[in-house]
Amino acid sequence: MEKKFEIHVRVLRLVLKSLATNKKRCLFAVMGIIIGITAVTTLVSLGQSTQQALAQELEKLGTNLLIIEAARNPNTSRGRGGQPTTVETLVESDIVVLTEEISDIAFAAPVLQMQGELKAGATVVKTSVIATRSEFMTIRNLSVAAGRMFLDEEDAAARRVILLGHTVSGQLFGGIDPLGENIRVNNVLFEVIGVLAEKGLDANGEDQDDVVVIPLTTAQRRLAGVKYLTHIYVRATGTDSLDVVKEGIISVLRTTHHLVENEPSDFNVLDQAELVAARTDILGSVEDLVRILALVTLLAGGLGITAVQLVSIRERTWEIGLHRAVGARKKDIVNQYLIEAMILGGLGGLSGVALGLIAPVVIAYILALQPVIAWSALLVSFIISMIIGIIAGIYPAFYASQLDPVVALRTA
Amino acid sequence: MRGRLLGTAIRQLRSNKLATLLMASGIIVGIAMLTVVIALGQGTKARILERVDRMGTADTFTIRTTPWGEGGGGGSGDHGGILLGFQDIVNLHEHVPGVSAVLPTLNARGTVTAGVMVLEGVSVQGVSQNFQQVRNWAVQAGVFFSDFDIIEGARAAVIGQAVANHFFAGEDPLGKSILVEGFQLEVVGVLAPRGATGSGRNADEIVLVPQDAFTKVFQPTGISTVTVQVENVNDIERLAQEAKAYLETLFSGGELYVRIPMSTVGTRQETSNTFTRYLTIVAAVALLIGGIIMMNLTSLSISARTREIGLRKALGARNKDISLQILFETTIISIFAGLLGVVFGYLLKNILAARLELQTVMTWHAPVTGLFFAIVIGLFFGVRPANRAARLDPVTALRSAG
Repeated sequence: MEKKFEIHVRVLRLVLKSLATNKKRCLFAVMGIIIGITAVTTLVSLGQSTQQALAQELEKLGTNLLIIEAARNPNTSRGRGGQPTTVETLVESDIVVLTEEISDIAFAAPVLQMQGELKAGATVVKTSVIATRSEFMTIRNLSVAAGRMFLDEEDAAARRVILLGHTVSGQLFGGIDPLGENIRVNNVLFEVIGVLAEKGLDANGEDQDDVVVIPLTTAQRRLAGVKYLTHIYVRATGTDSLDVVKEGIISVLRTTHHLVENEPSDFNVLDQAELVAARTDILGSVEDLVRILALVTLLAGGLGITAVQLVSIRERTWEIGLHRAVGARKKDIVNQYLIEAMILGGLGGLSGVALGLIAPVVIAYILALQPVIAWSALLVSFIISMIIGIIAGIYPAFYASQLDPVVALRTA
Repeated sequence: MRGRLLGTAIRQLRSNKLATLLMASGIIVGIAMLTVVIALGQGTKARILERVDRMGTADTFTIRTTPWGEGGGGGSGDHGGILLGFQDIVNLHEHVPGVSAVLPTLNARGTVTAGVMVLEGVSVQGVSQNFQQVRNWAVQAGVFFSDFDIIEGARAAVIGQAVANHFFAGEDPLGKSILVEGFQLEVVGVLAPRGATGSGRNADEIVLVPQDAFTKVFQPTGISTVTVQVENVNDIERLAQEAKAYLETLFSGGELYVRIPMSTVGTRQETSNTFTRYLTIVAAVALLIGGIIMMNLTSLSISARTREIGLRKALGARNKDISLQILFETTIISIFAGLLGVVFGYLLKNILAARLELQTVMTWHAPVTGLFFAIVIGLFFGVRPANRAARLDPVTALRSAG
């Protein structure tokens, strides 16, 4: 037992000595493994960070937005101003139920939308009036360019305050500062307290700035004299939970509205289908790319590791021949080189994992991306690099140990 | 002298097959990888941006003869002032290079009926020939209008998902007839759902009719809104101003109003920036791996030849001769292997692209950078160790293993 241990120690010392004399080759073998792991992990991790950044960018357009609209009124009499009327069953208490029942709803805002005739002095403009609460601004990514949003207290007190869309502000006031001015909306006097930041045309070529925003309570009491809503705007916690939220809304609202089976819903749930489809395609393309990149880099790294080890075949054949000539057994030789390959592989593998953890985080920080660690990439590249490293390391030893020592010695 | 050195170099390369092969394979793998990786990256970028453009109308701007507003979501409003004629619009792309298509917007709100059912305030749009190129709206069932339908003014309609559901829930709407403001049309297609618009309107509550049918029903006196598609989104602001200026000269004194879809253009810009940053990292990593593979193999193949260098010196070669010989060898290998690498990379990229349905874009700078790298690395990691070996005492060099 003791003798066996002694032999092990001697083999280990032999290995270390051999490593020390072949510094360059060792360095390259270790470097191959490190680079293989780091490269794959960095590409995959940053690929995922990039995917996240793209997803967030698309989310700004509203991929996580759901709009519940009240169904059209089945009896076709027109409402005021010739606008189509809707059923009156969509109400604010629905929002309370929805947010309680569905956990993936981040925000929900009640909306009463109507056509409005705005008058400032002699100028008359038709636009759509959105009566809502402050959550609407968050859900629709609206910001106030000048002035301020109305306060919750102003809504509760049904104050007549209004925010103008960029287009409407230009039409009514031209270059003049509209803040503090009074305008009439369907003949009710309002004070302009803010102007919305410009949003431009939407994906359908519609002007998103042709709009005004007023408090919901004000509109329900002073303009329309109704209690119902035309829309509920819902923002899901993420685009991935959109379908779950959509299903949830349909089943919760059908229950609260006491609809029986087969009875058509008195509401529709809309998402921005075109945007959601685009998002799926775009993120899918990035994912495909990342996967292929990982494969190609892993392949190239593997080839690199193998090639470095094969270079030393001749050198080693001679060395092994010598060892065999002075009495080493085949087993000893294979053992020696296995230990060597494991030491190098372990060293390279651990450094590779360390670098693979640090590099993506540092680069993500520099690029202002959200750092992601691709654990699966780290694991796969570690295992494959180690396997290739060890096989490529002991193959030459195995090959040489099969040779007649005399032949082996003559090869150099 | 030079000729003899070159001859020696080539002879050496042939006799020293293993070393040559190693160095060459390092360069081939390195450059092939670089080429494939960058071609795939660029291809993906092109594909993504194309998708962003198709997402809506990111590559279009809209010109109106009336100020924006008036309608709160798509209505044509009362157009006071000037109106454009079809001919003015058709000629636009000849006068403003960079414009790829022009689509007059014929849009109105109308009442649509089918049997006893009525739908009011539906967006009805007149379709002219460039409609699909600009709007890119897929048809889910049935067909879109053919050019013949549009020219001949067929009594046909393509309806949106919401209209189909309202009138024909559970039935096949194709072949059914609907009345648009009392004008009878046959449903030939149903559009794929688009969901809500940016202003929260249901985009699927729409009926498309050929331009002629639209004119008969709504009798517009001219065109007040034109959507213009550009070839390159990066030029959109400049082209919008040029098109506006050109059309204004046609109507001396009249003012036109132009808008671009800012949020989607912004998204495109951001998407492009984000992805380009990632591609830079990808290129850097690929260059690093390629470089290290080349470096390792070049360096090892030279150090395996220390003995040979000693032998040549012992036979009377000067240091300069040896350096020159290695320089020639390295350059020859770098160039040939580099070219081979580009070819392999190109083939591999084509195979990947065909097998996995990936889009690739071949750029010249990937192979060129790779070649440059191969030569620099060859010189640095090949010639330097060779110089060192050449400076050794021939006896020491000969004694070294290898």
